[in-house]
Amino acid sequence: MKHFLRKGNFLIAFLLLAATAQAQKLVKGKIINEAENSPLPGAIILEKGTNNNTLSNLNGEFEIKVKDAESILVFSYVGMETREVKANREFISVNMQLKGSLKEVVVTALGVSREKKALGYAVSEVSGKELVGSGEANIIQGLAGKVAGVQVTSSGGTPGASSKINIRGNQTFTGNNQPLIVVDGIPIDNTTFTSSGADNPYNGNLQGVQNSNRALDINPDDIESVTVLKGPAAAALYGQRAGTGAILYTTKKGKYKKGIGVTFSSSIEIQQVNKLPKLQNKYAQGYLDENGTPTYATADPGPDKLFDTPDDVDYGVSSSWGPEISKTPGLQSFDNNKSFFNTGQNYNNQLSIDGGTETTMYRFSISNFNSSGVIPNSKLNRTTVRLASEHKLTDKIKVGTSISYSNTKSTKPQNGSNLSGIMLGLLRMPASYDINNYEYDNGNVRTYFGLYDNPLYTAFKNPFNDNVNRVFGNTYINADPTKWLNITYKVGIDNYSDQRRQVYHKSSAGDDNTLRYGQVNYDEVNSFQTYSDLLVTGKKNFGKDIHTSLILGNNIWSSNFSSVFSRGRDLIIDDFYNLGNSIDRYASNSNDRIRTYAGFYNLEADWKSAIFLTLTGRKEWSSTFNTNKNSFFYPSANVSIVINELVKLPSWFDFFKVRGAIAQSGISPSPYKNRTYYTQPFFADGFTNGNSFPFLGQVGYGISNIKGSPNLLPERVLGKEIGTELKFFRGKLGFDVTYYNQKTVDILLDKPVAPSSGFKREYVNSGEMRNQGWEIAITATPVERKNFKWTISGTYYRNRSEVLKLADGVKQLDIEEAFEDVGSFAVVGQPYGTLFGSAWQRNADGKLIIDPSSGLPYIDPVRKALGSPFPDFLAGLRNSFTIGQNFNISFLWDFRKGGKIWNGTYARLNRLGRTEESGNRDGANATYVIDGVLGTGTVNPDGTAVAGTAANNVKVSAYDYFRSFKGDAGGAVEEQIQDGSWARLREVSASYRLNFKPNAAGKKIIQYLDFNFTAINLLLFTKYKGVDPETSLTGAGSNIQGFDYFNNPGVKTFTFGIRAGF
Amino acid sequence: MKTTKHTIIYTLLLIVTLSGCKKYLEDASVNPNDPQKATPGSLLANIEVATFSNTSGNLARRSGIIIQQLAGTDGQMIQLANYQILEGDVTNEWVGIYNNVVINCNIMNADFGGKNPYFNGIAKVLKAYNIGLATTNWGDVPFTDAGKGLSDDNLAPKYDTQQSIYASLQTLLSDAITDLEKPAEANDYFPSGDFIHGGDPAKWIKTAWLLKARYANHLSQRNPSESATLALQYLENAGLTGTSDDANAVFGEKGNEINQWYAFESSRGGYIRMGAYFIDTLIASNDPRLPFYAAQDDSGNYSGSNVDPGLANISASAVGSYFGSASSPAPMATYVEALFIKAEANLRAGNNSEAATAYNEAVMASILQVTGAPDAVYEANFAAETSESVSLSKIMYQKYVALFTQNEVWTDWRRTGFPQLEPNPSGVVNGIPRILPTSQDERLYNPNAVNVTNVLNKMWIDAN
Repeated sequence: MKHFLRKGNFLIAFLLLAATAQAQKLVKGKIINEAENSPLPGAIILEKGTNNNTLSNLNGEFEIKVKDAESILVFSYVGMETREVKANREFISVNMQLKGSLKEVVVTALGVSREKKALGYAVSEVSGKELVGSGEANIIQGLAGKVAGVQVTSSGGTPGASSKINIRGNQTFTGNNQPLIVVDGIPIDNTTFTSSGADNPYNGNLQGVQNSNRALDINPDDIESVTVLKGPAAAALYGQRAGTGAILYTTKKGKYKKGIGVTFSSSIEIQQVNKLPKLQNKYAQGYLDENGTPTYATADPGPDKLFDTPDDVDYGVSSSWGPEISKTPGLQSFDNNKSFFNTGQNYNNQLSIDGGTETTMYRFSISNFNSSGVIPNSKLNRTTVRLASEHKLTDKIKVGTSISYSNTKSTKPQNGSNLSGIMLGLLRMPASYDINNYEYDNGNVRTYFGLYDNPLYTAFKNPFNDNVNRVFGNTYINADPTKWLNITYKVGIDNYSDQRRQVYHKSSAGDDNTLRYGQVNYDEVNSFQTYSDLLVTGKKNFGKDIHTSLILGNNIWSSNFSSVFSRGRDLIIDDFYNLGNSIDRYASNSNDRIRTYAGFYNLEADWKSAIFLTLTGRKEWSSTFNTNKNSFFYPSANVSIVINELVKLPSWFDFFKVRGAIAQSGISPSPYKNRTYYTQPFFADGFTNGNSFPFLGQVGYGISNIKGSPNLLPERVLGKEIGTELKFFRGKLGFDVTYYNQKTVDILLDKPVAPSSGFKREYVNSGEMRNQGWEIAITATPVERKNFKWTISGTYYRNRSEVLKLADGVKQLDIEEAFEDVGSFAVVGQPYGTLFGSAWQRNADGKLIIDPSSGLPYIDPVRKALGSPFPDFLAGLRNSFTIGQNFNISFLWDFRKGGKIWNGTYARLNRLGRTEESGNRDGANATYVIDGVLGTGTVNPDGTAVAGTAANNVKVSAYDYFRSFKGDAGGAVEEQIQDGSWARLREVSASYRLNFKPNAAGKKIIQYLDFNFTAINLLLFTKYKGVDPETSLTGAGSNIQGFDYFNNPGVKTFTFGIRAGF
Repeated sequence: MKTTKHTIIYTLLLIVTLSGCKKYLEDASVNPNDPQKATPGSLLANIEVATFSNTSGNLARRSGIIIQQLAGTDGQMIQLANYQILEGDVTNEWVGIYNNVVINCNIMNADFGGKNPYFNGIAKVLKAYNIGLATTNWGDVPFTDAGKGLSDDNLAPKYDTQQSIYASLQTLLSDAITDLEKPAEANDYFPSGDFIHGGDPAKWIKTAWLLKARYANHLSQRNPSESATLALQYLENAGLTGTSDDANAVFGEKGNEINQWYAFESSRGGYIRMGAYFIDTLIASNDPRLPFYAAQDDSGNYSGSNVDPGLANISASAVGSYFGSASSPAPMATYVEALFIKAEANLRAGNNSEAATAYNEAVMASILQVTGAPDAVYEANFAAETSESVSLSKIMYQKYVALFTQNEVWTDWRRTGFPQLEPNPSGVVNGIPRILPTSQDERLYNPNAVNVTNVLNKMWIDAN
């Protein structure tokens, strides 16, 4: 086919060559097929207004003599957009694009393709190439640093750890703030689910493992492009699921008439931990005895080698306030972090075959990603297979289908506030203890403190395994019965099962009740969603200048998410993890179902392709409301004015568009919140796992702590935005600026009520929150020469959120259950998610008031807002260089200003005498004086201390200073809040393309070879005293941001890859 | 126009589709996870297990540390030992009483009470026990309006004065006795889900009278003579015959059934050790209960940790096996307590001889119950008081020992000043706490809350 087309071109060229013209200036150049990044032979180069022309050779190169520098060259090729370029340079490099692509068509809500200039709202696009180039296995993480208006937070560097994404901040308090993820028009499940029995009294996100967000199951290499619909205006057609924005992934398809193409790529990645807290290695495990003498003590479980048994010799202590290691006979200092962490290795292999005939196009791909992480025994293996095809039944009817299967298996390490947590056991481990030989000969844990597992033990003996089998895809029929009418019907499913197993080996303290008898948890998670939409599109023009298009449609969605959790405790036979092997068994299950249907319209009109107006509306019915009032309407309107089509602008001013949009979209209530139910409660006080049912053979039910409400409304996000797009100097400089103001009203919240009423909470529509901010994207090409091109693209994003209202009488609300000392709150007048906890008492000048008897500051009796965990701004800056024809290198810097983190890790390590700073405890550094004013020693009845005037001069010992001031043994949480700003070189990627010449027979077996190298997080500059501050204890399944309590560390990754095109 | 025609056809199609949709939505709106009604047995099981948690959880740990039976040696228990009790520290216990018990007692009364007086009577006794915990810890608390968020939509209960609460507790317990004295035929269902007395109404009546005596006796500072007379009269009515009449929180061996002292030491090992004052007096008096109350310390002896957590000794004795094993019962209202109330009330009423007898019986009963055998030497020294030698300080010290782990001991100390304790010199307040601060949730969300922040405030019964 290609061959034929080329012949055709030669024919045209021959006819054109008949005429010649006077030429004085020699211009050379090269023509590139942009889609394939390959030379384009046989393209016609014509000097405008003349018959002077030539053709590009097999390498895409050409030479032409033109009249002068003012001459215009017209480049054309069948099926491609014609381009005109001024012949004012000696070397002209031209990228040719497929017809239609120059129009900058973007995929919008419900999969409708629109010309970008027609849109009255901001959209951002990321190419599949950029996504893959990020080197991230997770298509959510791959967006980090690339889109203004988006914040991506990875939860750590372990394989499969979730990535959280927020668009324009958070729109709701306690509901789901993750955007809708849509693949080829079908919303998919991106849940991050934490397994926990119904009898677990605490927030499972604070402990356990870092679960995956299920978009992980998608192979990034299958993605052609990504569109981020940021606000309600862009996403309004998704109705009650649009409030948090939407991300549309469009997958790669084949091409009609293309022939067959094969691509193979393979890469190897090496990972290392990128940052760890600094620890002291001078002092041994131990405590201060009654006389204040550092005393060494370590654990010894006695002859049975099991703790909490009568023969225990020593439980050990968790602290490192012992004697100096070098001066204590028999002790030596170990670098346990070095012993513990591995170099992670990932292997990524991809094969795709694509192509098409006159009537059929297809793409088949298969991929495998195999990762072993920096934490021993942490791993991930993902295999995906995908087939997308489309067939023309007639000229007017197309059917298509796309189906993906993926299998994702992982072994995840323990995290966070967890006695068998990796970092908890590791960072607290005293320097005097050798981490190796983590188990005794009877298989029991060998550790330094009876309550904590040795991290090596927990890595190998307490693994969490999950195995996800997923099928998702869609099938559609697309008909054009007449020129002005199109009907598309699409049905999609998304189904996965997630089989999980968590084991705790006998002797591990990680089991639920710390009895060390061994435990096994199984969780069978199943998610099934079906989705269908019918779109009828009619187009009509009124006269020459007015074009309209109307879409009417309906859409049906159902979701069924279930989990069957079972647990066995007290295991009889070691290493045999079957429920039958347990004495104490428990099971619970849950099932959430949501069903909706909706009808909608989308009306577009434009005048002279210069002024565009779009109106949309969606009426939606949902099972999450009561049956008496269960439907709601979500409208939107947006306008785009392309000024350069209306007014003549200076020649250097290429494009000038202003836009504005207003819309309302919704956020659905959680299911089953419209009634008050009875629940099987658990009774716990925050210190133990408490008591729960079945209890001594009885089942108990009590009224829920949350009062349901029969008159629920959806939350509504009212979004307004204005923006402009500017292009200068033939596209060499461009700006895209958006200001948005989004207000969510009727926010559903579990409004706290006085517990003496018998309820803790009442589910009501009462909150209000505003997010407003700026999104700026800049593109520039400062240099473009024959062998060198430098492009810059930058993004800037700032969001200011403010909680406007919670509920009557409610000024603060914890958005999710957290720790007793510190929470993440919605506080009226403060940014959403503000860290909230105990603060120091201060005098009128803001100075700490010091207790004269102890030398330590007083704690304020009332807890306070301690800072927002969300950044002041995020910025990304990419510099890309193309050197010669085949070498590219780009650097993506990622900046974050602000964003507080509660560094609970650092506080606890101070308390335990483990931080590097707490090593300053002898000689001249032995005492500390805390900056503040002395209190009078009097405490008012309300718990506030009376401040004096004298500066504090009371010395405190290093022990008290680090434990009770810098540490969490009585220290205020305020002291533990740190700034999470960073500058990081998020991505360095380099690629080199080797194009192959045809062999003697004129054929090429290998078209090209790409060699690429990517480094992620190569450099990180931050003042944060902990692991990489891009960290999240609670992951994407939680709204809590900015918690670090023994979070697993981040990583830097080096990828070496090769891609071959056949 | 063709478009219009298509639109009409399409709209008709849509309508046809939607008519089947109501059922489509309703099918998914039924909650498969939680029921919309309970049974009296499951409700009682809920009330009782919640009460067990309130009895042996943080309220008990806190009072034990305040009263120096225990010492805070690590974690949050250090703050507590330093008397730093903040409003956020008490919310779980407050919720434990009102959310987990009181509202469910009200539901029992409203939904099942009429036809199930035994269930109802038991729920009333347990409500009285829990409100008793609330008022002795927090002073003025909601009672009349409490737990009516469902029935009356009352989400901001008013606070009753402690004085009126004590009166209401007596009424509630009398009502309970009336219910429990009804004939068995008056019940649709005989109580199930009763871990405490196995559904035996006679034993519940005894417990109800004992609680009436306890609450009467709490008014010793307010009305010394009437409180003594009433307490004695109620004890007479109770007619407790031995430790088999004890109301205990009971536990099992399974992880979710375990005793909360045991659970605490398992998951928060080293946070609490035995208190130095307590252990030292037990050692000095050669108390046979010592090895039952306390575990051996790291050197195989018995020792307590200093009241000042700055001098904490984490190697000191932990809570021993008698209260601290996985399935150890936790006492709620016992025969031994009844004897001590009898001794104290008699002494206050001037009946010194009866006081001495009751005191001696109380000490002996406690030793027998804890150790399984009498101890002649100890009893010769400490259970042989006469009408001349018996004193409030002796009664209260022995009650302090016998009621180890019970919240009552803190109330007793506030009423009587015994045993005489030295406060932690490093405490953030100058003295031993006498009340808990108002729970944060109440301060924030209940405009009717009576706010207490100073833990040295005295509540109404604490008038000495």
